[in-house]
Amino acid sequence: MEAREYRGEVAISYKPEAVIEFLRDPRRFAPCIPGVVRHYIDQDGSLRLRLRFDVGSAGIADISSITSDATIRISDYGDSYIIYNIEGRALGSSYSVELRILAKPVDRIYWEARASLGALIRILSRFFDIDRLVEEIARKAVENLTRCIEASESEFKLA
Amino acid sequence: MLYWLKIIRYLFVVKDFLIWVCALVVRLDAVIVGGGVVGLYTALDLSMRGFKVALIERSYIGSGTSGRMHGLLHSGARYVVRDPAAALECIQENDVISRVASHAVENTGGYFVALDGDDVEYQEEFLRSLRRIGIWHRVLDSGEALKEEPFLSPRARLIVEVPDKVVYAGDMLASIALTAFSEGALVLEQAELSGIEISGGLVESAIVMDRSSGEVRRLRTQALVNAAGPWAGRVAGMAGVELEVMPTAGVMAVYPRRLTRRVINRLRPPSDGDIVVPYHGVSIAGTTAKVIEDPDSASIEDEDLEILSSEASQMIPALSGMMVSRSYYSVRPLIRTESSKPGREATRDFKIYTHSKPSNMVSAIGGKFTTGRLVAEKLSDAASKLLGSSKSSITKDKRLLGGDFEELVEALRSSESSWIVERLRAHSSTLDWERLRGAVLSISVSLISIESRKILGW
Repeated sequence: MEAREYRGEVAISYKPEAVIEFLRDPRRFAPCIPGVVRHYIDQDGSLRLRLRFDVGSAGIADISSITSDATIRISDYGDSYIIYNIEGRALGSSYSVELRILAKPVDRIYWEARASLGALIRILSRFFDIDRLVEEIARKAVENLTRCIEASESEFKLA
Repeated sequence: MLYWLKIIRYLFVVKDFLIWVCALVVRLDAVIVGGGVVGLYTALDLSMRGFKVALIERSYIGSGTSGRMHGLLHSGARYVVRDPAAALECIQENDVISRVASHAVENTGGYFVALDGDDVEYQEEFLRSLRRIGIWHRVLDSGEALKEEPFLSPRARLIVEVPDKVVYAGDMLASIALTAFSEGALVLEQAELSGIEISGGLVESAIVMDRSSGEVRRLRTQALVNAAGPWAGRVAGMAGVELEVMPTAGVMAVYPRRLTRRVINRLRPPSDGDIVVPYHGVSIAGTTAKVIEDPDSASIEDEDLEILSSEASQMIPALSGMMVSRSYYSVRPLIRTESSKPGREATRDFKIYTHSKPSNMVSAIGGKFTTGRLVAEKLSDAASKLLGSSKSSITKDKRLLGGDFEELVEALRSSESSWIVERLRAHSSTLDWERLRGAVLSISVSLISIESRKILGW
């Protein structure tokens, strides 16, 4: 499957270890994922979610939002980074995303997403800017998570 | 008196026959590809403008996208926030279809239901947009709504009543076909377009596979009208034209009981599984959206039914304990909407194409069943222009055959249909007339297809 890469950064004023600790716990970060309709933690520790993405900006008649079932697993983490593997289905097609989040000692979170969108990319890219849509979804997810961290981690705030 | 009426009727039959002989020797004005709501209404529209047209449908009228919708005649409320232009078209056509096809429309009304936890901002924007566009609506309190619809979820927090209705798609499609035939259109089922002959940048003929006989036929025509829905890209390709159509499959789940009087919609940005339609004695939950590459290869997955069941039962909890009696899918041709402003205030969900080469071909993509007549009107305008006519559409006020027994009998006056006429007469004053009407209409379409073949000499 063809893979596409997206990256970005967002400002945050918390210590990296606090950020990563938050992001390692699906019970804490799951409710912060934008568009989550329901979620539960499976026996193997993976997070299973139903998401609804707002795709109104894509301008497709009769499709304002897309329902997706996804599974999120933590594949690796360290003091200042975490890597997620996300697998899901949307619009009848499978997709997978590797999302890397790096919390540096300065006041920023850097993220990188490598997405394999399968048949979706072939079909949808003829009709609208799918790169922009995926980037928007990834950016919103990281921004939401950041807001959640800021709301809960006041004792680890950077000076 | 009856003797003279019979003579006059005979003369009209002879006259029609002679006109068609001439048409065959010269050629048709238009061949319309696709027997869905747009194709059928285009056949009616162009016939009423005086053109000699033939519609070809590769399968049976009502078996494609138009016959597989969810049954909702939109009030437009679903689109008020994201697509106000489409919303306005919907409410206008809702009124037209209710008038011209009253026998195929049930005035159920509809509720938009917001549950606790749903997006309050969207709800406020929804109400503002309804007012702005002028779609009638009424906010109910949950007590009143639950009295009216006892199976509604007790979690309902905001209920807005709108003029949604239910359209009996099969009845309506058959009615359009019969009316088009009575206006002079030929309607051919089991007739598949297999090629387009082009000469000098113009369509000369449609090559048609007659599926009932296996023979290949040629229909000479002045214009080709592509109303093939999700297959429009394939049809255009036969003429060397590239048309971007995104076939999207949507699944519907049918529950064996009608639990509501009204259409129930979820009050949120349009999404999967947010409509439950009361259709005769069943409830239909829809729909999903699955992008596919080939409109002939859609399938129903467990995940589709699970999403529908999960979403529908949030609005009507009793559905969660009910088995789905059957499911079906519909393939829609979706298009990218065009926005004239960054705020997407004005969008259209259908497009009419007048191609540059071949220059006597027009295509329509997109739209909904509710706006099928309107799309056909615009398509017919484009076709008429190609054919050198400036006559306007009058389908807006043309009552469709099918509601009145005597009118239906008159439309089936050919001797081949005497057995169906006898059957109609036998049932017309029984308790089952309304239930049997749909079956009779469907059979009638087969009869006009046979008649159309005879006229063409197939």
